Amino acid sequence: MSIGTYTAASIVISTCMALAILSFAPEEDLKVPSGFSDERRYELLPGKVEFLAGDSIRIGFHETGIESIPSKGKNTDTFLLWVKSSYGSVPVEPQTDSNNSYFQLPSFLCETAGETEVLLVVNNKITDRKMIRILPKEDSAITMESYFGPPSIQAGTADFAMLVTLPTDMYDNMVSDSTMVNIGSTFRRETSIFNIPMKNGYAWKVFPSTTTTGTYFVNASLYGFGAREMESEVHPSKPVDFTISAKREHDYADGNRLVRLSTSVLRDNYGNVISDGTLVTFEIESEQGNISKTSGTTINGVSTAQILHPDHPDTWSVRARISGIAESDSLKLVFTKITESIPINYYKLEDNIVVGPIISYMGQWVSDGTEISLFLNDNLILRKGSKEGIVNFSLSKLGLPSEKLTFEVRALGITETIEVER
Amino acid sequence: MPLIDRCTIHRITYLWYRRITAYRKSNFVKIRSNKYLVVAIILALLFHGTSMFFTMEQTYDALIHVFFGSHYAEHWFDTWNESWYTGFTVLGYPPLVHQAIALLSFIGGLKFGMFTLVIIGTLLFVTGVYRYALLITANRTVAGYAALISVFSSSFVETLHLFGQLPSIIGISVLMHALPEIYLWLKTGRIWHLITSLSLLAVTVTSHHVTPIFGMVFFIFPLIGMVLMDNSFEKAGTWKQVTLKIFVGRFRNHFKRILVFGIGALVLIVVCILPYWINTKNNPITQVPIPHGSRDNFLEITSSGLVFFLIPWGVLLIVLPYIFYRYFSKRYLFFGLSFSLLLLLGTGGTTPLPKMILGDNAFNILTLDRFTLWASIMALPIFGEFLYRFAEGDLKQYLQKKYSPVYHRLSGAILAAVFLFMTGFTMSLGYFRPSQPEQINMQPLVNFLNQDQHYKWRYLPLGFGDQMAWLSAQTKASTIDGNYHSARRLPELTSRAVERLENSKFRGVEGLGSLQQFLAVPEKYHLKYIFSNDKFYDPLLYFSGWHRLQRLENGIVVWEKEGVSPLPSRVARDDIPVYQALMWGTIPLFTVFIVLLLNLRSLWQRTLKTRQAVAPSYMSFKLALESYPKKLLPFSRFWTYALSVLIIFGCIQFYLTNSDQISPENAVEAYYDALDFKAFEKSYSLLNPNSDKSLDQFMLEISVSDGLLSSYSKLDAITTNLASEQGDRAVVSTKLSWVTPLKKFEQHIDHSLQRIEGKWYLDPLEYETDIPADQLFTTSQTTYSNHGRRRISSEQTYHEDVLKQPLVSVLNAKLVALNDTYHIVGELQNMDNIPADISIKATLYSRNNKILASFNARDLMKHKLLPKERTAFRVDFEEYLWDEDTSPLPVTFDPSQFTNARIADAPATFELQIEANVATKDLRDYIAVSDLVISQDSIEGILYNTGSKDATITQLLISHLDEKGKTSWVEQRYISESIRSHRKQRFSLDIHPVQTTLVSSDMNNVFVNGHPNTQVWDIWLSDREFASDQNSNTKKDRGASKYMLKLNYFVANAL
Repeated sequence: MSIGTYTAASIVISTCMALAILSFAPEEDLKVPSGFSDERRYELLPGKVEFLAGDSIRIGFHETGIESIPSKGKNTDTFLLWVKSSYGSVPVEPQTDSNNSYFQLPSFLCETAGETEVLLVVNNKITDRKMIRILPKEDSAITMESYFGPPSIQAGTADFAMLVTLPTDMYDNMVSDSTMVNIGSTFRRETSIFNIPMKNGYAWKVFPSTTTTGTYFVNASLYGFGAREMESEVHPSKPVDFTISAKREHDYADGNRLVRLSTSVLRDNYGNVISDGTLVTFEIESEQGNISKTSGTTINGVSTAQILHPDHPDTWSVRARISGIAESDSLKLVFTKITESIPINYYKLEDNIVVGPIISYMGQWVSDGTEISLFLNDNLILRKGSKEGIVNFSLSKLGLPSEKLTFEVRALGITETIEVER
Repeated sequence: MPLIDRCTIHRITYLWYRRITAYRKSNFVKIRSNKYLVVAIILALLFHGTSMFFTMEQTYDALIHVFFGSHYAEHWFDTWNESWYTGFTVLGYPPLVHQAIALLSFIGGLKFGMFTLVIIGTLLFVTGVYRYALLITANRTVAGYAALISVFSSSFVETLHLFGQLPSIIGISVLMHALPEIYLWLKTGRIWHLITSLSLLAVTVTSHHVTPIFGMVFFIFPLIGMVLMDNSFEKAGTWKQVTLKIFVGRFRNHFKRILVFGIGALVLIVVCILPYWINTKNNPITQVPIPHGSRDNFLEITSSGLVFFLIPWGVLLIVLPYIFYRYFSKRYLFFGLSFSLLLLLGTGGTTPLPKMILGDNAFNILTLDRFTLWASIMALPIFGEFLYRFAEGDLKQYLQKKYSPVYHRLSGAILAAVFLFMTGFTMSLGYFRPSQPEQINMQPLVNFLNQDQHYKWRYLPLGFGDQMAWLSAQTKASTIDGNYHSARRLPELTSRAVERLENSKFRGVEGLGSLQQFLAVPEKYHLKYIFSNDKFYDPLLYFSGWHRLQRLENGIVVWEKEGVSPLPSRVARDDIPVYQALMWGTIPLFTVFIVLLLNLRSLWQRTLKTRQAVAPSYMSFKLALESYPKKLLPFSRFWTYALSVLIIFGCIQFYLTNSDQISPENAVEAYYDALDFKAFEKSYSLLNPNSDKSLDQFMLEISVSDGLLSSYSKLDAITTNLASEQGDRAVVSTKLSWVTPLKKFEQHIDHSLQRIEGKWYLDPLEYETDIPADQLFTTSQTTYSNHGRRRISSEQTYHEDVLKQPLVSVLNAKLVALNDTYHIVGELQNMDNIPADISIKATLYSRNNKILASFNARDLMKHKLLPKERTAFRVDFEEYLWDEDTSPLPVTFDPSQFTNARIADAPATFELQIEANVATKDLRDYIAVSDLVISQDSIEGILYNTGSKDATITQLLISHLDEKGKTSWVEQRYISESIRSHRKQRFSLDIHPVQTTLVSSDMNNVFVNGHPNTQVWDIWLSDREFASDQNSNTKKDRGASKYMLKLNYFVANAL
């Protein structure tokens, strides 16, 4: 069992104990009226039995047959009004004005709506009893405690949001059952008002999800007293398959420019544009089966991602995915080579292999940083980026043996060899 | 009333007058104010009273005492403090100094209290040394000399201005004041002296507990010995005639007084801080020993030798022969023994002797620098005597006669120069080699914690140094860290030799290990905010799932963790009986009151000479100081020369090993050393001047390089190997190991070097020439913001302000075993339309549903997920407690070190609790992978940053997939260099299939936001197509192992 359960259980138990103490303790202390008196000498005055919460409640009594009670000083009988309400039981002492004695209920009892039983106790014996009803003061300032949630739901038919409202009068009494609460809602410019009857102290309404996205604005009011505006967003549902497109400046495999990949407007199965920020992954498979991957998030349904051109001639097949949910068709991209050959020279004096200048597709140097790799016996010795089309491999700095060596230079998908005698 | 005869009164008065004047004539000496002492006090006030404002706040301990002071200022009688260590008792430290700070803070604030106490401590120290020296030498001039040099004594300066050990200083000073009184009690047997000595001892006890206990051994025992010697001398007539027999007889004679004093002292030590002893017994210190420089081998770790031996001894080292000579004379014999023992204990781990004497336990708990402090204080009277003889006594005459006045003056000048240099050096050590970060303005932090109820969570400062105590003193928010480690209770801390989490990077494995645990499971400690003053920790925080909130105006970055519940309003505490709390709150200041009451009169009389005082009996043991021991002189000279030679030799040795360009290896090492300390101009000067690299170009290249290695690492070790050398050219194969907060990096670089004019220079490394496609480019991104509270209100958040927890689905998860360790691996996806911040808590259950272990996923997952984003995860079960066996600690730190949880039973099932909250920060996915080639044992490819921010540190999460496309293992790698915007970064990783054993793939106990995962599954994922997910990153027919790559990266300048 979790701590939460223990806490809940302990709260329940302690509440019960507190209630028990509240309801029993005063009776023990105050000597509960032991029973009905045989001689019904005194009785409560008939009169109003229905009050509005907050009204002053005064209950009179008299000796049977006699209109008024002599003031306390002239009578040896003790009088007490035992009030049983939802707050518990409270004894009330009588008050006397010029010629009558009566009981004045304390204000907190007058403000609590519900059925209240009053018992007249004379000399510790109950002599009369009656029920009075206190009704909530519904025309007063009503407090609406409302909750609407969850803050977002998903478009479709399964999800829903729910409004629950608990209106109370100025004394925090629940409003009577069947009182009609006005619930207003606005969704996509359409406003509707519903009258929902109160039951057991609250009213509620379910707002089923819709197939279109938007925001539900709702509000609950009673007798013109309203609650604040609340909202819940209908988010788009799961996206469906889509198409992709690519944009590039040229088709050359220069390893420098970027391909811009975009999706079509991503929509869910109801045609709503999916939420901004949804991650779309583009997966690219090259001719050799190498994988490239880039990703972008959607804005207005369109996701755009970028990736470098390959530095060797290649054919890509591109596919985009929203992982496990939707995917695109496949797109083919062809990249053509930018040069036919790579010039290589060895300069014995400086002990240098100079690669280049490598000339690109329109006679310019290849872009700076084009990777040129030097291999010896199929082992990568050094990889350097070009500068102004040229790469300089200084063999003296590599600590290689002084003998005849055959180097391979690989770049831009081309492999050239050179024999070097140092 | 009958009148008394006037004559009678006159007679009595007259008789008294006669008696008193007769007494005075015989015993009273005309005493003038000791001008040396007066000068010493003035100098002390000037020197320490002004310099303290620049040093005290940078010391190790002063702010801790201020923090304790703030505790007493707020709750005088409460001994429980909730600010540190999830609550601790302040009974662990005698409270007098702290309570005094608290009391003074009511006048002018906490720091006023501290500074006032520094002044009081200094005064007590100088006068204490005077009284102690007077007691030892019985010579007022010598005592004056001792008081003068005590002002500038390097050990005192170090203890006060570098260590900030206020209570320790006040303790020893008051003890020195007590010594003459103890002497007088033992010698004369006057009860008054017993009372005053015990009252002073009580103050010592309540200000520092270690001082009186060891003070008994090292100061009072020799003092008793001296009293007995003096008595024996009086009995025998000459020192030569003092024999053991007489001595034993005197001992018997004085035994009663010694016993009375001993018992009194013992009672005081026990009673005055009784709650301390009870607490020590009830909560024994469980802390694993924390390494301390004073326990090092000073010859091996020279920095410790400097701080804990050379500095405190300073110029005293030169006069060591004289000190020994004097202290091993008959009268001081016991002081000599005590002094030798203190000297030996102060050498720490240089020899095994201190450990043998103290025993393992005490050796590992005590900081041994205090022995050196006491020894140097004990030597002060004799040093004073030496100076007196040297400056105006017999030694001066002897030297001037034997050599020449010039010789005397010159040696005097050297001595004075060394003495003053040591003082100045000690004082400014904290300036030249700062042990503390720059002073932090705490106000923004205090304000942050007060705002928006942030104090309802715990915070953790990182990189604050000892200033963290000052922050704690100002805020009511609490931290899990603290700065008084013997008071810790959390096993995560006590089981590790970590001084503070705050500076855990200096404690290597254990430090970072401890910190990682707190970062991984912050909800357990209600830890929500981290104040980072050291960017070293930033990657660790980021990959543990924390995010940056804001940079405060003092430059501190606030990090936050989502989904941590606030502290309950009642936190567990240890209460103590009322009588103890009352004792603790009242006795310390009461002892001071008593001392003032008893001594005020004599203090008044002594200082202002209102009444001529009786010369105390120790004053009759004045030594003539007329003939300096001739035999000692050659020895002293030899000693001085030997010492000088040793120092010069050390300097030469230092120069030779650090000379940069003598060999190719030295040049490479010097280059990296300079780089490590960001001395770029120095490293540039080691580059080949014939290369065409200008300093501008070099600095530019440095400035654009970033990443784990260049910004978050410390060079740990460098090994150089001469690979080839041909004439003036050489290739040095260099192995570098770097420590970073995330992992250890090994780097292998072959450097080619050239010798030019006998000096070796490195050829500069090639830098990338890559030029990105576009000069100016745009990126568009969806960003998120959460208002928190929409209405500015201090009330609890309204329910309509609370966001829905994002819907997350665990796609697959299983419990696997790998070589006796258990791991939960799997994959999850954010199914919602809003980004999610995810934390995963995993629990292992045995077959009988007993909980075996529980831990959170830390860095083996991506915590912040965009809508529909997936991440693999792995939960490792880390042991909260460090291995109990005291295996030798690794010397350097290895962030990947990990202690597996000891799992008692075989796990059968597991539970996953996924908690998702709305994430608004660190949501980026701009790194593209190009040309990914996966072979059987390696993954190669190019990473390209398509975004507009540099990816400082990139993490590759590699999932191993089984044949059904489900996760069978997850591992991670970090890319050491940053990937700048629109730049590429090549990577190549070794990877091997991992053979794990499946324990359970039962996903019935997987919960998302408290709901069963299956429920989420049924509603939202019934038509999910898994076929399309497989092979997503691998070539279809390459081997059985398939891998999936997930990128997560840290952007350093995101704020």
